[in-house]
Amino acid sequence: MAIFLTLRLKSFKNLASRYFRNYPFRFLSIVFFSFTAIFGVYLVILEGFTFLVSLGGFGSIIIKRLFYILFFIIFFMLGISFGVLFYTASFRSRETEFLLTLPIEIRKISFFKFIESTLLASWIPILGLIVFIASYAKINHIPIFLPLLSFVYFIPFILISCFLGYLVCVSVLKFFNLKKLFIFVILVFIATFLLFTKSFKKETKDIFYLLSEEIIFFKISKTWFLPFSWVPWGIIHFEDGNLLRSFVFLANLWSLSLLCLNSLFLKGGNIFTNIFIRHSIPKHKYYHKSLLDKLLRMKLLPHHFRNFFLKDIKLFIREPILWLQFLIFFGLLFFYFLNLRRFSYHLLDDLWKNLIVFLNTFSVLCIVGALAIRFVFPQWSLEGKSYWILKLSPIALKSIYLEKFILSFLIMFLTSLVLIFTSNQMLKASMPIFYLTFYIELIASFSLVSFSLGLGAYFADFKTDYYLKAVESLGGLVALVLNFSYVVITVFIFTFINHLFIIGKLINFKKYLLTTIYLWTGISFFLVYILTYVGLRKLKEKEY
Amino acid sequence: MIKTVSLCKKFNHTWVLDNLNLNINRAEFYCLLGPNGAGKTTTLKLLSGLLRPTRGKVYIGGFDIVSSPLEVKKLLGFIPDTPFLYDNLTGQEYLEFVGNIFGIEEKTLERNIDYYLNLFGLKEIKDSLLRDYSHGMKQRITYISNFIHDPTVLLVDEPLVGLDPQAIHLIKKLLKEKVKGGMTILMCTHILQIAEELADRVGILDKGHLIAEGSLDQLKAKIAKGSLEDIFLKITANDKSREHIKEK
Repeated sequence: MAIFLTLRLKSFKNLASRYFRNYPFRFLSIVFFSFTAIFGVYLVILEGFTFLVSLGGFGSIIIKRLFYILFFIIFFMLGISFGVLFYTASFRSRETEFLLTLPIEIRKISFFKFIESTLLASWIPILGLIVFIASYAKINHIPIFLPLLSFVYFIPFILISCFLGYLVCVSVLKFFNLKKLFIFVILVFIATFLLFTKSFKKETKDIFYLLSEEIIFFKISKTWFLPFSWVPWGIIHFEDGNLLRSFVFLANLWSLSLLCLNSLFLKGGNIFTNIFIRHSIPKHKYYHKSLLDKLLRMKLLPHHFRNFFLKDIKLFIREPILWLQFLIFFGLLFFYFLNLRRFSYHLLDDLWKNLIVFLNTFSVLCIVGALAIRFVFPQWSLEGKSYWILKLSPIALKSIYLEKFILSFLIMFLTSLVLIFTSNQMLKASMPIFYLTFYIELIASFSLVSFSLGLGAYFADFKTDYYLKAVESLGGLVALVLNFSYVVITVFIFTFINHLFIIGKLINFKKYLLTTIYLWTGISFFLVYILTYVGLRKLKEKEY
Repeated sequence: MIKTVSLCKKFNHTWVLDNLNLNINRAEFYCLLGPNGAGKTTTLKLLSGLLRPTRGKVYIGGFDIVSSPLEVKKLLGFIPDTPFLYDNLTGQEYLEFVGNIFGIEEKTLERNIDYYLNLFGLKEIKDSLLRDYSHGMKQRITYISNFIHDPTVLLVDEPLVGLDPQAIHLIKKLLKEKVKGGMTILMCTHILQIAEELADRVGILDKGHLIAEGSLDQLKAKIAKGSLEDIFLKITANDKSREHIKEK
C-alpha cells in the first residue's frame, strides 16, 4: 500500500519538477494565480457572509442553514465523484490488469484504488471546505485554528462519503446492466418526486417558515444520526464551547470511518476480483443503425458537423459514467425548482422576490458552470489516446473545436433556458426581469462553455486512461475557479443594481443597467476570445 | 513524394533525430530500420504531423507539413503500432466516421467498407463495440480505415504487431499491390524479413542518424555480404554486443 502511494507521489513530484524545470515562469504563474484565485473565492464568500450578517436575525439563520446544507450536498457529490473515479481507476484502467499479475494480495490492490480515488475526488472539495470554514471563522470571530482543527473532522467525513460511493459503485457494477441501471435511476427519481410532493403541503409567504426546520431539505441536512450532519454539529458545538458534545460527534465520525475502512480491507478483495472479471469479459453486444443515425444523416447540418456530432453523441450515450452524472445533476435541479411553488416565493415582497429571482439565476449558472467543468472541460482529454485520429484528419482543428463548442453550448443553453423559464414562471417575475435573466443566461452560458472548452484544450491530457483525471487536475481547478468567479461576479453586479433600484437608491436605473449590460457583455466576449485563442493555439502546438 | 531536409527533433535536452535527409519516390516501398530508441517512430510522427520538427523541413507530395498541414493530411494514411481507437464506437461506425472525415461519397464508402470488412474477416463483428475487439482485430480495423480512403502516402509503424499469420499474409499482399498501384509506403519495423521481402529501399537509423541507405543489393555491396540481419547487426551493434555475437 505504502509502495503504491509512494509511487504515485514520486510520479507527481517528477511531473511537477519536470514542468518547473522546463517552464519555470509558467509553473510559478499557475501556482501564483491559483493561490490568488483561492484567496479571491475566500473574499467573495466573506463578502457574502458579511451581507447576510448585515440582514440581522435572518442572516445568522441563513449562515447556519448554509453550513448544514453545504456538508449535506458535499457528502453526496463527493460520493458520486468517488464512485465514478473508483470505477474508471479500478475497472477501466490498464494499470489494474498489470497490478493483478503481481504477487500482491488483491485486497491491498482494492484498498489502494480506494485511497487513490478518495484523494483524487476529495482534494478540491477539501480546498473549498477550508476556504468556507476560514470565512465562517472570520465572520463569527472564532480563532483562526478552526480551519486547521476542522481537518480532524473532514478526514473521516470524506472517508465515509467515499465508502458510500464505493458501495453504490460496486452494487451497480455487480447487479445492473446499462438498461437496468437507466430504469433504476428513473424509478428512484419518480419515488423521490412522489416523496417530495407529499412532504410539501403548506404554502406560505412567511419568511420564518421558509427558513424553519419544517422544510424537509433543512430537516434532513440537520438529522443528528446521519453522518453528513456530524461535521457541522461538531464544529458548531465546538464554537459554542460544548466540547464534550463536539467530541461525541468527532468520535462518531472516526469510529464509523474506521469501520468502513476495516470492512473494505477485509472484504474488498473478493468483491474487486468478481467485478473485474465480470467487467473484462468482451460482451460483443451488437449496435445497429439507430434513429439518431437516421436523424443526423438528414442534410440539415454541414457534413463534418454531422459526422462529429454523431461520434460525440454516441460516445456520450454509451458511457454510463457521463450520462449518469448528467441525470443526477438535472435530477437535483429539478427538485430544487419543484420546491419554488411549494414555498410560494411568488407571494413575497418585491425585494425578496427579486433576490430569489437572482439567487435562482445564480444557482442555474452555478449548475451550468459545474456541468461545463464536468462535461465540456474534459471534451479534449476525452479523446485521449485516440486523439491521433483527429490530429491526422484533413479537417482544421478549429472546425472540430467549433463543433464541440456548438454541441456543448446548445445543450447547456437549452437546458438552462428551460430552468430559468420555469423559475421565472413560478416566481411570476415581471417581463423586464424575465428578459434580463434570459440575456444573462445566454451570455453567461456562452462564456462558461467557452472558458471550459478553451481551458480544456489548454490543459488537455491525451495520455490519461480515464478522463476524470483531467477534471481533478490543476487545469480543472483553474477552470472551476474561473467559472465560479465569473458566475459570482455576474450575479452580484446585476443583483446589486436591481437591489439599489428596488430600495429606491438608484434614480437613473435604465441608464445604469444598460451601461452594465454593455460592459459585462464586452468583458465576457473579451475573455471568451482570449481563452479560445489560447486554447486553440495550445491545441495546435500539442504533440502526440 | 516524401522529402525531409535536415530534419531534427529535440525532446527536452536530448536530440532524438539529427539532420535526417530522406527522399522517397512515388510508388516506392521504403523501410526504416533501427534498434530501439533509434528515432523511427519519431520520424513517422514528424512526417505525419503528430510531432513538430525542432529544425528542418518535411515535404509530402510537395507540401510543407508545417505551413500546409491540411493538404498533407489529405494525402496521408497512418498505421500506428498500438491501435488506440474510439472504444465506444462499433467497427462499422468507426470506419464510417473516418470515411466521412475524408469526404468519401456515401455509396463508395459503403462499398469500400463492405469490401474490406469481408476481406479482413470482420464482417460478422462489425456492429459490436471496438472495446470488445482483440488487439489484432483493432489493428485490422486500422488498416481498413486507411485503405478505404486510399491515401497517396502510407506511414506504417510496426505493421504486424498482434496479427495472425493469415492477416500478415493478406497485409503483405495488399501493401505490395498498393505500391504497384502508385502508393508510396514508409514502414518502420524490427522484423528484418519483412523489410527484405517488401522494401525497394532500406534506411537504417541509429541514435537519430541515418547511418545507411540503399537497396538491399547496394547495402550488401557496401557493408556486408549475407542477409539484411548481418548488415543490420554489423552497423548497429555496440562493442559489447559485437563481442557477444563473435563469441557465439
